[in-house]
Amino acid sequence: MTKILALLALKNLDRYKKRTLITASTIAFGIMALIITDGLLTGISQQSDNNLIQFETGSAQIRTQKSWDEKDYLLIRNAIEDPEPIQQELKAWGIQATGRTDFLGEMILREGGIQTRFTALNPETDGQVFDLERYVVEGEWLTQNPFGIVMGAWLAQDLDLKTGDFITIRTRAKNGNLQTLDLKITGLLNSPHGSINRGQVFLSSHLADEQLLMRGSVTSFVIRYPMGKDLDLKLHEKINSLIQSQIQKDLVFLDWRILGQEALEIAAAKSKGTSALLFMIILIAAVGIINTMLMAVYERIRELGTLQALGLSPGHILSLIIFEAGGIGLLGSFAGALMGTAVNIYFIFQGLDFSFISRNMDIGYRISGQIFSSWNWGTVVGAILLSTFLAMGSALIPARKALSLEITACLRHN
Amino acid sequence: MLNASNVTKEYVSGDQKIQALRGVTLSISSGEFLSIAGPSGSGKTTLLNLMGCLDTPTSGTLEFSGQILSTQTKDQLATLRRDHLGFIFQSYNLIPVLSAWENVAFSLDILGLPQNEVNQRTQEALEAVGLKDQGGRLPGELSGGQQQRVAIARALVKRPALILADEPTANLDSNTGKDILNLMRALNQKWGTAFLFSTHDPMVMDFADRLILLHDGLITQDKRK
Repeated sequence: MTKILALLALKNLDRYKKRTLITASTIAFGIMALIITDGLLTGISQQSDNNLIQFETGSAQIRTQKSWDEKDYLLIRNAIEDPEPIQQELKAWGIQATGRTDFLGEMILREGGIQTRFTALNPETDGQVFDLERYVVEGEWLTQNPFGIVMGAWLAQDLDLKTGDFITIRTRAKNGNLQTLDLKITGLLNSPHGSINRGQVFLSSHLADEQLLMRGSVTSFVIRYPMGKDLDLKLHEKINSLIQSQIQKDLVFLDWRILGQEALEIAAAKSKGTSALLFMIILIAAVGIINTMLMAVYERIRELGTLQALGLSPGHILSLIIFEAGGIGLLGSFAGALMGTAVNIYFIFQGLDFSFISRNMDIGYRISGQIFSSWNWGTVVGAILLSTFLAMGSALIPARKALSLEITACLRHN
Repeated sequence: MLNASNVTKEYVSGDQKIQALRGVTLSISSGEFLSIAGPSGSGKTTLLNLMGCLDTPTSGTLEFSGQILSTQTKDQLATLRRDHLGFIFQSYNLIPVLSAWENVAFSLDILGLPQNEVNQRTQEALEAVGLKDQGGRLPGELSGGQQQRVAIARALVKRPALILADEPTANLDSNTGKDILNLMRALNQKWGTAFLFSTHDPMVMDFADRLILLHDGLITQDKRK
């Protein structure tokens, strides 16, 4: 009986070709939007996580508890006083690590001062953890030149600065005294991390050692895990034991997920917002199916009466209507999945230029220009199943309407 | 085969109660060829619907082959219609998306018969109504008379005990109507299927072996030839 009803449902769908195609198109559009948006969001999220690790946090950091508690102020007095033994030990374990000192300073320009984020790094070891050097678009990466700086290309553009220009910065040394430095821009950086391009200045740790009185101390000790993003539990425990064995007792070991919590939370919130939007699209498609099936039922009341007179039970009529709605759902979702995947493939390989937004605005994701979509087969299969079942579920309303009528009333219907 | 005992049917229309049948008692035997006649509103269609298990009486008892119909569930009534009853409607009521062949075969498909038997019986039924070459046509491509022949074949193909026909010739011209009646008569004699049809056409009444006259929901005459 199922086969007979399925065949009859197919013929009915073919009978109302235009209506079937219009409703299926609504579903297809919803599914296509779902697949494209989900692919892009997943891709952006993966890129953002990678950029967070590669350019901002590293895989993990050792810091002082106070420096973590007061992270927004970037106070260099909250430093790890002697990172050398830690570095030696990690090196022996085959773990790449580098020290960095982050601080805030005022860049003094003709028009006035501008608060800027500075990072002092060791040019010899930083490249083992971070991937900045290859994104120098003008000039050169930091050398031992104590007065050379590399700044984000967008920041330089906004301030009308170029390589070779001198800037003056004012900040506080570790002892709290004000320090003013004249520094030469030796390189400009255009990385995949928008915030770095937009507002970050890098300088050599030698300069921080001498001029800011850091003398080998750093505000963070950044680690790059040997593989992927996760550190195995044993190594994690080993590093924890290592920092507990140090003379300085307030050291903490923080994973990139904790360090980048804010960015990850923003991404998660955006993802939820998009899911709500997609739910609305699916809901509109469901209303379309209910409408189509109600019209189909109203137009075929006499026919449904005839089928019952011929011996189909109410359950068979229900199945017939559900099959028809399921057919529309299946057609729409497959078409949507095909179109969505085709567009997604383009975005996976060609990407989408996102710089028109990320150039001037921090949207939370750690991205700058080209964004790439990601494969999302789970979403594709899930979307097909969800919309087909949703379509079948939507048919219950018109089916109930059809079955509420007496057979004789159906047969009298004109 | 089919017994109606003091059957009444009441409809509610707005505030008004309409008594369509007011105590009908009737017996139909296997192989009968009978018509129910009467003016419009006399209760013909209502009686046909009740006997075809399409509706339930307000009071009284309907019995088909020993089964009391009022005690049957909707699914049981559907099975009874599928297995034992055939219907021919005034406006044919063919399934528009199915070809003539498929419309006829549908009655057998839902019985779950093997495909070769379905094909053989469908072929026989279409031949019996003179449409063996029109099987591939959709109802919309057939004349009214041809559509009614397909409807007869659809009703007959499953060899039911009883075929109920509600004014089967009302939408046909007199010649085609006569052809259809001759066909029904021939099939009644060939297959032994009982035919019960409603009409208010004197020509149709003359065709029947037994004529039941209905007036204002009551049987006023039950005459056998």
